Amino acid sequence: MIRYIFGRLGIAAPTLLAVVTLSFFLLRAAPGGPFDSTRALPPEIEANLNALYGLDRPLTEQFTSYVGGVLRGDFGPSYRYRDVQVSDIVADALPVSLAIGGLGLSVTLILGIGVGAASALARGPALATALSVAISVGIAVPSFVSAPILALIFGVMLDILPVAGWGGGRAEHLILPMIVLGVPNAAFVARLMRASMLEQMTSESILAARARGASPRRIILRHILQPALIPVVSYLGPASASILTGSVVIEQLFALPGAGQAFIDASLNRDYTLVLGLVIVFATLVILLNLLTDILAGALNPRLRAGQ
Amino acid sequence: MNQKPESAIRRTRPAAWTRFARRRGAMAGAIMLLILAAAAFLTPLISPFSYDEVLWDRIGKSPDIASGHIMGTDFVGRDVFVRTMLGLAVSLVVGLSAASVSVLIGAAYGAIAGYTGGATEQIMMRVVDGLFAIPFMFVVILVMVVFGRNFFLLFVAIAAIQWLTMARITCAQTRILRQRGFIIAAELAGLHPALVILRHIAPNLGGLIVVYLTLTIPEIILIESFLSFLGMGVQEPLTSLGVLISDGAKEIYTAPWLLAAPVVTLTTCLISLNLIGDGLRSALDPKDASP
Repeated sequence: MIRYIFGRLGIAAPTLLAVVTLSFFLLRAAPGGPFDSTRALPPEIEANLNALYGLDRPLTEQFTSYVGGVLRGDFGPSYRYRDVQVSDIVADALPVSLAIGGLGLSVTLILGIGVGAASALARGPALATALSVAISVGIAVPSFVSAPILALIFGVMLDILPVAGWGGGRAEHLILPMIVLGVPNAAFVARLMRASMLEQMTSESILAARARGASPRRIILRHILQPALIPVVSYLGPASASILTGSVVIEQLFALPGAGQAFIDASLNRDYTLVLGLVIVFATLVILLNLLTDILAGALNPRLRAGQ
Repeated sequence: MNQKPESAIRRTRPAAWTRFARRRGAMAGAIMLLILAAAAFLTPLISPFSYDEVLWDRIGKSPDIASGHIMGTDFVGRDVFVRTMLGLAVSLVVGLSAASVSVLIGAAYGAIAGYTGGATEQIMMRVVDGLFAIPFMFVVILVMVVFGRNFFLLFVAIAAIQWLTMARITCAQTRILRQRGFIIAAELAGLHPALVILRHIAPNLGGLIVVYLTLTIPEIILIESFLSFLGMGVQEPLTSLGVLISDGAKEIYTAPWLLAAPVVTLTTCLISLNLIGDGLRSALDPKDASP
């Protein structure tokens, strides 16, 4: 197990370094400097600005000092907002995204595992068909479609939930974003769960358990549900990535002051240091979550550890 | 792998096409997709309205049959039905071409890794593992910011994200194929490794490639819509379903038909593609027991 964990770490660490390096040099290669404006700056002032932000030093030196800063949690100053550190913006925006993302992930898991299990165990073609249609629709309706429709129904027609805004993180402001973010992923989890339960149901271990006289309840819980959860656990990493990506859209649609919103604003403002800082934060989060998922999956499934 | 069970399966199971046709969901998906594709590509030829023609007397009118604007007009006075069908055509073309490119890249990468084996395979597949962990949507947006909103670049970026799953699946499949008699025979006859892959491995991956092509197309249409929704995809006056949905969402309270038309089209298209993909997968999967 320890060897397996180190093996996974050996993939995660270089990946993270590659992302940081690639994004850094990509942004430095971008046409136009951060201080380009409609008015041309006098050369002395531009030289002073470049010196202030360290842009006059050689590129490799800039890179090593940037990576050193990142390791200490310092992403440098924002290019667009004067006297504001990128770390401060990230510290303000990230909790909003993490709150919505965490809630969305809970909806994904609870709804996905519940509906998937119900659909695999459903008796009678009517219920099974209804659930499988619901899963197909859930997968095919993207969040940027369901968000305005739900806002119209619950916010305007029924007038029971706020249409947009953060409202200091009050519960009623979180309900719609949480549902919109969670449901498409829940449909994926449900499909995965159903397929993997159906596979377990035809396996010989069920026959053996039945022959031993195990109760139907025990067969479902111990021999079908438990092993069927392994692929769902492996999907947690990709699911968290998809939820983080989705939160970019959700924050736009519901006007939430999260990291996704900050990322889009920074992209449109060409605030390079802020974009770079946010990409690194997002990538670190996703890579860490993938690492955790891999370790969890390895702990549950010895065959994964034994070799590829 | 043992040859015997497979030949037994061949005798008792009907051909893949018959197995596909027996799946009602898959057939319904195929018919729906045919209708949608026909509408998408024929509408510009048949319709009296064009996608960028501004009708000054019909700004933001709701749908009515009498005037011929069956899905109404937008706030620039353009016919919504024609624009939706153009958006669908753009989505289908981008989906099909980007999916083909990414599936072929993935299949080639996976086949080479799986056939070579050993340390090369380990390194190649660990690279895929690493790439899997990168949240690519952010990298794509980053690229769009740096190099401007370039349609071709968008296409390349999407294809670059999507080849990973295919590489994993092909690699696993090739590892199984590698031990089969006909591959060993070809090797003993002194065939060059590249030719072994092209002549003997590739044909056996055909079914897998077709299945993942149909499953990748809806994913790519979703990514393209997502980027267009954020204003980073197709630019005016050309349009795509994502652009139309983004515009429609802004007018949801005043002109709901602007959102309804692209949403219904996108959802129907994605559902039918998923149904076809699932149907093909179970029709071609030798493990699937259903007839």
